[in-house]
Amino acid sequence: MKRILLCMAMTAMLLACTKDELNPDSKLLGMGGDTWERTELDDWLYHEFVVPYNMEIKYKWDPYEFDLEKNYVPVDETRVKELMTSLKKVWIEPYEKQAGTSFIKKIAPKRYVLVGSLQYNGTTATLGFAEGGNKITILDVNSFDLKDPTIVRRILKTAEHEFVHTLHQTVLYPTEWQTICRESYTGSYNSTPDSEFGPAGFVSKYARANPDEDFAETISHIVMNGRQWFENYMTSVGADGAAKLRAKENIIIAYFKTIWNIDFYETYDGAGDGLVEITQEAIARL
Amino acid sequence: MKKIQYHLLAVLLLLSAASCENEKYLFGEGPDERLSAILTEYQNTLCEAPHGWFIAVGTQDRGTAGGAYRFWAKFSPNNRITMYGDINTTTATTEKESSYRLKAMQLPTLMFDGYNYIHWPADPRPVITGATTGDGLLSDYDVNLVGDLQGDEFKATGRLHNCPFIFTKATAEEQQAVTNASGLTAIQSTVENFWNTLKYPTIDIDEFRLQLSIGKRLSAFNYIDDDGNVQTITIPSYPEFNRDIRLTEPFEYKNIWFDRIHWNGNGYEITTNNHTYPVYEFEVPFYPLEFGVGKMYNTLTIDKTALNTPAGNSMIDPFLSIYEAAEAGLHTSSTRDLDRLLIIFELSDQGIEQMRLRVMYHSGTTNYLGEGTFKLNRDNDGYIYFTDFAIASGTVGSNMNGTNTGPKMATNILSYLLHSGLSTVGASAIIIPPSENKFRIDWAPNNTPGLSGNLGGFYVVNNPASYIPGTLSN
Repeated sequence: MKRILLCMAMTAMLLACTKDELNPDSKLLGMGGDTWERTELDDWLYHEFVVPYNMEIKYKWDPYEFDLEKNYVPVDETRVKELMTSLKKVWIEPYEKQAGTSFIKKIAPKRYVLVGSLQYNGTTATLGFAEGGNKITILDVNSFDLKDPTIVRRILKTAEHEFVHTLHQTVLYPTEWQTICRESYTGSYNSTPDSEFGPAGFVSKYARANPDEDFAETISHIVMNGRQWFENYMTSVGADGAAKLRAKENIIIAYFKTIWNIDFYETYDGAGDGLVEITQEAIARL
Repeated sequence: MKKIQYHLLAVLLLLSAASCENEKYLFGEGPDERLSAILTEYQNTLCEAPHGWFIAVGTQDRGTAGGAYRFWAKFSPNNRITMYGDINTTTATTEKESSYRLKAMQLPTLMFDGYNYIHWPADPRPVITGATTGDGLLSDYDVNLVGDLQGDEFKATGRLHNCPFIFTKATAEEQQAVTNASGLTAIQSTVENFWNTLKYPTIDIDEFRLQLSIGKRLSAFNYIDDDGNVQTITIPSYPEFNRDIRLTEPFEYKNIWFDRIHWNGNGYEITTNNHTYPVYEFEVPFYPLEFGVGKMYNTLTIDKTALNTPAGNSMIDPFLSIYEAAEAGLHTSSTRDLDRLLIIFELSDQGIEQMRLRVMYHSGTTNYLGEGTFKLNRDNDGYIYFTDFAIASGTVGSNMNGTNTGPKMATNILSYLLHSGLSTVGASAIIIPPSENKFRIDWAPNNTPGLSGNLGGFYVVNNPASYIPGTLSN
């Protein structure tokens, strides 16, 4: 009897504390993201990107978006409107014209993170990232200046490049893409001589990193520099390089048409209705 | 007995049930509520300073551009901030607005989340600070806050590089000075100019002697440790508006501790252990000069324009005449104007210590640099003498060996340096007359008002009045 009582008492003591429950109304700090008083810029971004595209443009510094060991600086907010306007004209609108207004809404990543400086990795620097079709990071925003066409082109090309990653992360390019330059891909692309990549059939040194980067580099180079630039480039790299670049070009044209129903180039000379021509016109109007 | 046991059990049961009521949160409220409350409190503290805050950060880079950077900032409750900075006269006179927010990270953190002057030292772009690509000056702009931020000053630490931060409330006069009179850079100039007039400023703290070198962002302290070695401690520092020098981290050695060099109206002093010690001038540094490969200094820069000004001369006869003869020789031949000479101790390709003589001159807007080397010898007394002058290879060698350079210095500078043996210079092998000079290297007096830095001299052993003076560097 005594033992039973003792056991009952012990059980009761243990159970006594199990009644506590989490308060479902208690507010977790930082849940739902950081908040701050909205500015004119926040309103502008909301109307230009959130409402039409459901895109979040994160321009305020958040260290957890980046490599925690590296040095960056936040975005100078005076650059944001100019950059995002240019990005909309040069990247979003040409795709909308070619593939319809729902294309960007459906395919484009929903989160855009901006940061003021580049990411330096020893001998190389990162201009942008694309992650899992969900997020694109654009670096070096503080260098953006409409008066400097080289910088403008470089930063917009980065955005285009990262978006191409989203495209192939959604529907992969044909496997034959990987075979055209199979022997020339290398992880140590940065230490290869500048004279090599053209004749090997690449548009840049970075394109040699792997077939994905090659795909993003080739398309973003053509889109940002134009078809004529690509033709001139092919004549400058020798017959072997040109043949490989031509083969890549054909895959790109077919990929855009069959997968996304996009005319990469204009439908006839002077029509100006291809993605490349529309983009070129937008760049000229910046 | 049994009854007592039952009663005890009943009491225990009651106690254990009752105890649970109070165990919900150890500190009364949940961690999120407390965190939220402290963030609000911190934000209020920052916003409620009527004349804004001075924010000083000490970078981890303590080289040429590193040290303490100071900003004045006014926080608004709507997450906006306006700022001035002491980076240059533009940042000291142009207000810049951006944003900030308080965020719960591992610690409550003040984030300057939009680019402003405070980010400049941390900017990894080499064009901004001139520092190593990707590093910036190893500075911070996410600031961990702890404790209660009461009073007119609080300290904090950067999140990434652990940089020290000092937040100080500004007075109405200080705010006025910052916003109307580029106060942040003006005080730097005032204080820097004063320290530049002091020759080898030194403090004696009882038996402990300390030499100070105070710049606008860094303070360096030299002393001799217990083992007899010269130590240098460099601490980021900044001038306050009352002309005090404030160290972002304290100077600590044995029982000596201070974080401020106080301006008393006439000069500077420090207070440690309740005693005040004045800064006074020394003719030369009190500790021995270490000059050589791998030593504190290995380069002597002999620049007559810097050493000799209308206000005072640190290069004197007889060496002054020898230098001027070289100057005149170079000038008459082809209007080449001598800028400076450098004496550098280094290792040769074979790993042997040698002396490199660098001659820098210009003709019109074109600058030239000529070089030759001497064999560096030491006698039994430790005195140094130079032999075997040889022309360096490449363009710098040609610039030294050309008819208008080396040969014009053969009978003055080169001869003064060359101890013995046959050495020649120039295409026609002009013989350099050896002087038999041996040298003792020691500090040299600085008689030039406004000339900062340590001066060294190569003293001729047989005639100590004759010496080559120059600024020391490494």
